[in-house]
Amino acid sequence: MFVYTSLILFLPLIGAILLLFVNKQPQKFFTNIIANVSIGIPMILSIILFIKYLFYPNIVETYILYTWAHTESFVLSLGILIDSLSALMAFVVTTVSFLVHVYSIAYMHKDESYNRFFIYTTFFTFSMLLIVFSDNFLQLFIGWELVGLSSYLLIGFWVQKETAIFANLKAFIVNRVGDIGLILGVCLVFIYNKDLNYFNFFNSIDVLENKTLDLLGYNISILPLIAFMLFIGAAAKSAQVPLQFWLPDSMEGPTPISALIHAATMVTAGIFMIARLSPLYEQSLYISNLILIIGCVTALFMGLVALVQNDIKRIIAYSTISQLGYMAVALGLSYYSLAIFHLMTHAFFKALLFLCAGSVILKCHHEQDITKMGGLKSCLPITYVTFFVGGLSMIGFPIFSGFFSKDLIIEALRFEGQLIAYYTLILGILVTTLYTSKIFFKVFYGENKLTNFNENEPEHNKILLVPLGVLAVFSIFIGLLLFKPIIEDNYFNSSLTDSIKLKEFFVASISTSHELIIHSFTSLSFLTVIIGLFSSYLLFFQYPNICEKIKNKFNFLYEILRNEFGFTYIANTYFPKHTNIISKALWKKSDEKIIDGFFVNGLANLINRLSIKIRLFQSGYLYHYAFTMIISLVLLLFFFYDF
Amino acid sequence: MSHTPLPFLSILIWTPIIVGFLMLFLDKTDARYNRFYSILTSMLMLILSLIILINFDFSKHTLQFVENKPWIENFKINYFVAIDGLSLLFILLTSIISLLILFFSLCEERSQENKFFSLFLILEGLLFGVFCSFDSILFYIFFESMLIPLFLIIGIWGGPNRIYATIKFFLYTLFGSVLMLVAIIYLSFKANSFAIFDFYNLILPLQTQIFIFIAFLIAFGIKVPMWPVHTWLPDAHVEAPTAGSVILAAVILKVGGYGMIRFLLPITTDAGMYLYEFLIPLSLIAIIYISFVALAQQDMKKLIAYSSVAHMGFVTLGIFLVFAFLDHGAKNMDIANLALQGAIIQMISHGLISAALFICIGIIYTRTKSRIINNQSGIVKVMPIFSAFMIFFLLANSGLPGTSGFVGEFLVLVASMGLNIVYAILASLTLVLAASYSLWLGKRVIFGVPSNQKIISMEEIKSIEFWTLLILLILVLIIGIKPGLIMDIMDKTSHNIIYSLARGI
Repeated sequence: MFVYTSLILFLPLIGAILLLFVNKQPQKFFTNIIANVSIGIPMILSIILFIKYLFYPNIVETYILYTWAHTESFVLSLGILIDSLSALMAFVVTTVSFLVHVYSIAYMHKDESYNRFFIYTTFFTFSMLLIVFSDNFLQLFIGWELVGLSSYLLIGFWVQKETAIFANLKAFIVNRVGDIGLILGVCLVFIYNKDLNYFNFFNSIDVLENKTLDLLGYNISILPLIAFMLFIGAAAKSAQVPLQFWLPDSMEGPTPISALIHAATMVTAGIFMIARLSPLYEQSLYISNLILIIGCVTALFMGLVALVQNDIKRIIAYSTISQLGYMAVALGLSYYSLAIFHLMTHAFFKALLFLCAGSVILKCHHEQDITKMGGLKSCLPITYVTFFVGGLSMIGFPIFSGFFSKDLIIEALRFEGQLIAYYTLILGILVTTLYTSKIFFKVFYGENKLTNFNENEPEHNKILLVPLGVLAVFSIFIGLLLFKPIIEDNYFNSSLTDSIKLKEFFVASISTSHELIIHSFTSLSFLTVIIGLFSSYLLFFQYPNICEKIKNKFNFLYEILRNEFGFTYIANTYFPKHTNIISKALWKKSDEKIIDGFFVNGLANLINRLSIKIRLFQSGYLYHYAFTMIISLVLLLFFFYDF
Repeated sequence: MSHTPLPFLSILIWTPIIVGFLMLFLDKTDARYNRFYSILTSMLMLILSLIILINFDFSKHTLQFVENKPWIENFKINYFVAIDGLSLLFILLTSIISLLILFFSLCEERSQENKFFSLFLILEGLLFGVFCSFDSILFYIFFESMLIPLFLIIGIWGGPNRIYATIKFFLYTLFGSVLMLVAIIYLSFKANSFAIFDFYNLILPLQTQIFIFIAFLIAFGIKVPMWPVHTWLPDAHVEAPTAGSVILAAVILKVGGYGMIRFLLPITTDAGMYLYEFLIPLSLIAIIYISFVALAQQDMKKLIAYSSVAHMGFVTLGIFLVFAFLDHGAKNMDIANLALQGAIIQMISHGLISAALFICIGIIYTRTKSRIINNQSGIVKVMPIFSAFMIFFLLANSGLPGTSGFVGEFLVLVASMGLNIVYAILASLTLVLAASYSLWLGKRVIFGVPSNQKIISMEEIKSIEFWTLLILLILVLIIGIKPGLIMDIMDKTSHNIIYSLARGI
């Protein structure tokens, strides 16, 4: 098993290194072969691994990769942990990654840095798998930063585009804010546990339960503090309020990257981490509640922001944030399995939506404003169908995969009696339906307003369309297919802590997938979807000018949403400006004026002035010296003989 | 203590110095011979230090390769050179960086080139001397004379404002070392010996210890440099030629940290335990305040110089944390050991990364004749390979895991968490601040659209520059991926330092 998993983990890295050496090759043959083989083999291996775990979900294996560092008393090693959770994540990561690779062959075809793109993506896949297979906090942190690095490099892939290099700096720094939380959490774990291995930590949770720590005079329990610190990291990576504002800007990168990193895999790392550490979060009720609240806020309010956007990628980006909010809600409710289940279905349908958006953008010659598009149904038939599928999956229309995962979370909320959260998320569904249909109607129906547009071209290269088809199949069936093995049969029994809870919920409210489907037709969420679909049909298709009227009438609200509740201002203007003022003041005032000007040069000047005075004695005239000598002699005589 | 047949360390110290002087006086016409012989000597020194590494016994904490001969017998001053795990690391760093500098200097044109190469060789030998000497007077002599070549390097080949910078630099450091001399003489009277190890056994009253502590702290704190005595560094860096900046940032600053571990920790332990609550904030100020100052810089070299001060803040933080743990009783000695090792790794790592960054800036400067950030942009368009290197080193500078920059900061951060969570929170701000100033620099200089004709006409790096940067990159990666390699070298030594301290209290 060790060799098997190592292959999954390291082949992408080997691929990235090999790609560095074919950088100079003009033809793309080697690049294509290396990039796809180095992801393709891990994909096949992880699919087999996942299928194996579907049958035997309770196997847990750990291996040591190598000792990172050790002293006389500590050993820090990197390792591999294979259990049901990592098998599922590896399946999701490698599959989406492979499909995006295939898609990128066509999408990035004309780019002059074609090879560099694949170096970054293969390296990203490696870093993500490093997190997935990690069995300790150190490796988690290393992978965490490395995916951040890949994201940084890929958002700024077009190095000359001003908005892109602004966005990637912003993304990296905001993620670093989260990393502060993460590394402090890791340090706390190390100090109180003397070890960074997950299982050793879980075993000592009982011991740590009553320990407290002194923070500025307050006694704080260790476990919630660790949970909170780690959650800061997760919130930044998974774009939860208030650290969400980097994600929409990250859409400046190439579209396949938005699909792979900023929708399907990297941004879900935070969700994955909290699920992985479920024994810790079980013990920290306050933090779980905090996650629940933040998840709700993110799910609804970021969905609202998506409503007023016109850039197709930004809309989908906000919808990603909102969907991550749903996952956070499930985590906060301690239904970790449901969060991971939604993570999986979301990865497929969101990747699909982004790749469809990429297809649309490519057709429109990199125009991303949906108000300028329209009538693309006829010339993009496959994209049209697959987007339709992905959209239905995202709004949670019954039997599509998003339905199973999302409806379960909402049902679980009702079951747990969290009614405020329940209604918030129901409202969230309405919003989701609205913005999804907005893209759908504006892009595929109506009049085309683009000038440089040729309707008679074929849709795209086949290579670009195949991944769309595969992802569409996943988006339809994977929920239905995996509902039984994952949710009913307690797939996460050995890796997550919610199996008993899940069983109770399951017996009490739903029992099989069929019942869930049948039940759903009478549920509030389905009703919301229908209302949403109907009203968006009216708003965006039948009477498009109603939108304008609403916008004018509630201009105030519209402006708030356009400015993302002020986050844009804070992040892009307020913070940089004030940091600048502080650093200028520290440099010019404190460093140059006080330390250098007053103390260092001041001291030098003082000595200089004194020496000018003293120098007067050294005039060089003999009679001056003689005079001084006589005066001194007289003074000395007075001194010694004490007249 | 093991005796070796060949005086390896003396060869290591004196060969470069002698060759350097010979070159200075013999051959004044053709610089090619000087280039050749100095690189050859430096390469031999690297091989020699690798031989020392291979023959070094890692399972012992005692001194090895000892040469202890009477020198000035009237005062009991000995020629006492030896190494332990700590010295060995710095010897390796010195030999690698010196060779790379000489190698890199091949591709730069300058006046009086023969002197340039000889001065660097002499400096290399003196640095070996500092790290090998275990007699305090010998240490002091090397410590002082090391200033002279650097003074000349900045003074002769420096920028327009070099006179101010050299005088500031010289007076600053001389001020510190004079205090150190007083402290050494006082200690030697008490111990009746000049050997550093004899100082360790002295039992001094707290009052005296505090004075000695402050004398050493000023001497080494200026070298490190600590806040608020750091202002000589940016000036010196800005005026220094590239090679001078590299050796200054990569090795000479480390003498300060090395001296703190050799002198401050073992000799004035009680004073340190008494003063640490005042010292740790100084390190934290260096980390946070200086990072902000770095953000505001307009000059690339100044930015990296300030970032050096911020990174060295982690070194002093690690060292002062040891005092704090000693004060909290002997139960946390494992974590104190982590702090010390973190500080040492941070020094090595910063030596490599700052060297690489100064070389990068030198490469830009030779092409555009400007170090002002706003004059550059879009270098990636014309120099893609160079840009990849520079972004890599900037990321390493911001402490990215997988590079050596992460290891030291992580270990020191863990240790500070063991003491007080507030320290850890403040120190961890470096994650954001270092990323901000490093990558913002990258954004403005490397990325974007080339703004002027000078940049468009820049040439891609030559093979000498490429290999210099590549070697540094590989070293940074190796340490980042497996820091255990370095920790193995010094583990016994640092463990011994910590536990003999813990026994002492």
